Amino acid sequence: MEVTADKERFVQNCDFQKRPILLAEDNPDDELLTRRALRQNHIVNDVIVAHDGVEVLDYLFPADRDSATGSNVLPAFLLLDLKMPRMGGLEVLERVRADPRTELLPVIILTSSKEEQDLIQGYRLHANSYIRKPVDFVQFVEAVRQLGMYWLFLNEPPPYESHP
Amino acid sequence: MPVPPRKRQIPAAHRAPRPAHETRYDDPIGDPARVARALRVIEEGLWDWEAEEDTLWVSPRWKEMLGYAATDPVGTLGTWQRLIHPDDMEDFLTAWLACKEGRAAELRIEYRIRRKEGTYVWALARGRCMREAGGPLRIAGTQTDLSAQKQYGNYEARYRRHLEDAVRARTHEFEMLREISDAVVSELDLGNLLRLVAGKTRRLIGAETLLVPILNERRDGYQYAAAEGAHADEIVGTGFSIQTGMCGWVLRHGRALLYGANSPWVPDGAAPTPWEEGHPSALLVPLFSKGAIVGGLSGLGKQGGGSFLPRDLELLTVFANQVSLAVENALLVEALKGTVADLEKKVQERTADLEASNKELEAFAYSVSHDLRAPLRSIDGFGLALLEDYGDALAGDGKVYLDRLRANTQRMGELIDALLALSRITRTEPSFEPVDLSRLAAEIGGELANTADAHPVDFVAEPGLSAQGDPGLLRIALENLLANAWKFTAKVAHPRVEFGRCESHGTPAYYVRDNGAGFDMAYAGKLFDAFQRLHSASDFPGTGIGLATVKRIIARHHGGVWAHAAPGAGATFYFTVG
Repeated sequence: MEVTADKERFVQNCDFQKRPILLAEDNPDDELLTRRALRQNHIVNDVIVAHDGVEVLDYLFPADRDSATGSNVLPAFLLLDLKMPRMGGLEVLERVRADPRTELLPVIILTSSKEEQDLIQGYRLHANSYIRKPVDFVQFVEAVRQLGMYWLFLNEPPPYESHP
Repeated sequence: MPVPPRKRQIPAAHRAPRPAHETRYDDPIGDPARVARALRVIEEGLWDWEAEEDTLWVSPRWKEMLGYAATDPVGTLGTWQRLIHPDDMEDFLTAWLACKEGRAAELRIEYRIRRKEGTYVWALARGRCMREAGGPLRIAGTQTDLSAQKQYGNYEARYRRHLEDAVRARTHEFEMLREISDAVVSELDLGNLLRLVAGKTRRLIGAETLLVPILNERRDGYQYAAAEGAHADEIVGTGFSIQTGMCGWVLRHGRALLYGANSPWVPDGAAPTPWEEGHPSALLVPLFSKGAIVGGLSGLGKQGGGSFLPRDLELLTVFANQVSLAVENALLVEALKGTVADLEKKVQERTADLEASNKELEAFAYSVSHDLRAPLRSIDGFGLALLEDYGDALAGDGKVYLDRLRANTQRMGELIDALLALSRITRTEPSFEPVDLSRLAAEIGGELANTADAHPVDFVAEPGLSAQGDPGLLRIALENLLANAWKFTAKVAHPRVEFGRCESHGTPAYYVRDNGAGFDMAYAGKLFDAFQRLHSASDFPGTGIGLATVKRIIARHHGGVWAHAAPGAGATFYFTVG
């Protein structure tokens, strides 16, 4: 891994790269393994875990809740599982895209399924990427490495300044 | 014609002396009296006109015909002509002159001549022109009274007129029958048909009210299904026992009923229905369908008073036959509609069932896709974590066991994916478009040859083969067949794989042939079932889903798939499409 180049980029995009990663994942095993894969790839951003779709929205739009005030830092990107209790990933995606505060947020669908209906719906609702979790953990770690590298360093993020 | 009583022959001695001009007639018959008697019998008058002096002689019968006494003088042709009807004068003179001047061989003219009291009678004058050598020109002949024949002629004319009227009436009736029969036969809705029949029948027989009773299913009662005329709205829908009314009588006996002034109804113990009561005349006929009574036509009251006639009965009977046919048709159509509706309902139910089961399958597959792989990932992930973090602490075969554990999670992941792929084939609706199978096979062959661990294979795809089908599904089928061929030729010296076309029972069949491991045909039956394998996974890896997938794809294309093989002699897989 080209650690030097990564570090340069990290300095350049410091503000963005300090942002947390929002992980929508209801399975604690998958949460643990994803954290492990991120760690193994030296991705040290905060990982905020939402255990279902409602928690994702609660984090992104805290002011919408009666009891909450203020706002949370927008994540660098959202790793979105599709099958979750209460509210599924596709509905979350639809709401995220419908809200001007989050319409540009990079959303990466990270899920077990590669059912055609999920792929079509995911892209139709403007997911930025769709990655299927491999069963083989070695492959999973590699996938997490690549997506972290891509979305944190290689990809130019949307200009968040215009958004709260 | 009455023959006058035979007259006693007058003895020759008592005969009166003959007038001089009568001597001409005596030669052929002899006795002038005999001639007179004969003439009397045939009631002919005689006349004889001599041109030179214009003298006309007529016989007494000639005069008698016109009511003149035998003694009344006639004298000249002018006397005769003054008696001729002015309208017939021209014809008479034309004929007379033609005869006199020799242009016609004979005088023959029917004309009217005035009797003494002033009326005219029809007469036939016949005569011949004679010119004896040196003698004067004369025309002589007979006159016949035609009045009796003319009277007969009048009768004939009247009779003819009557016949013509009758023919006209029948023609009219026939046309009406045909018109209403056409209308009735082309109406296929039973309700509309009966209403139409009621209206048409009422017009046909001139009934005040026309009812259409229909027998119920138990055949013990009838209901008026349609009515036209007085009280029609009240009558429709009312029902009676088959023991009631003239209608009941007709339905019970299956016979027509004509009731009126000259044909009383013997009610057979049954009272007329309220609708039938008070009508001076009624006419009823039964309607049949397939030989059984289904109802009738009931006309109550002749329009304009009076009674229905036998002629009305004839008409109604003829029409009833047509109506019976039409009713039969309508019942058939009704039954057919019922059957079609049943079928449609069944199809809808089946479709709903199928949709439900497809939905279930969809939900099941979705759940499998999402939920079954997650635990595998955990097992593999934590197995690897164990290996990575605590590998050094594992003694003996510990690491090997963990490797095996991970290998099996991999395999299970593959099986799950293969199963999902198989179920996806059932869940997606195939499209039908031209597919270039040769190009598809060549592409797949190229991909297989470029796989990292592929062995070199001599691959031949027959060019120009195409079929109607779903390109995506046919690709999966060919991929499976060719991948198998590739796999099973891995251990032979000169691997060869062919894709081509042949004939099977007159339809084109496509085949994938290899010279690889082959298999024993005894197990061919299991070949296309899911998870059935004829080789051990260690010899030839695989999920056991491939051929089941092929079979399902070909089935979705309404085709067939089969194989021929022998152990060590390669295998050929055939399939048809559509």
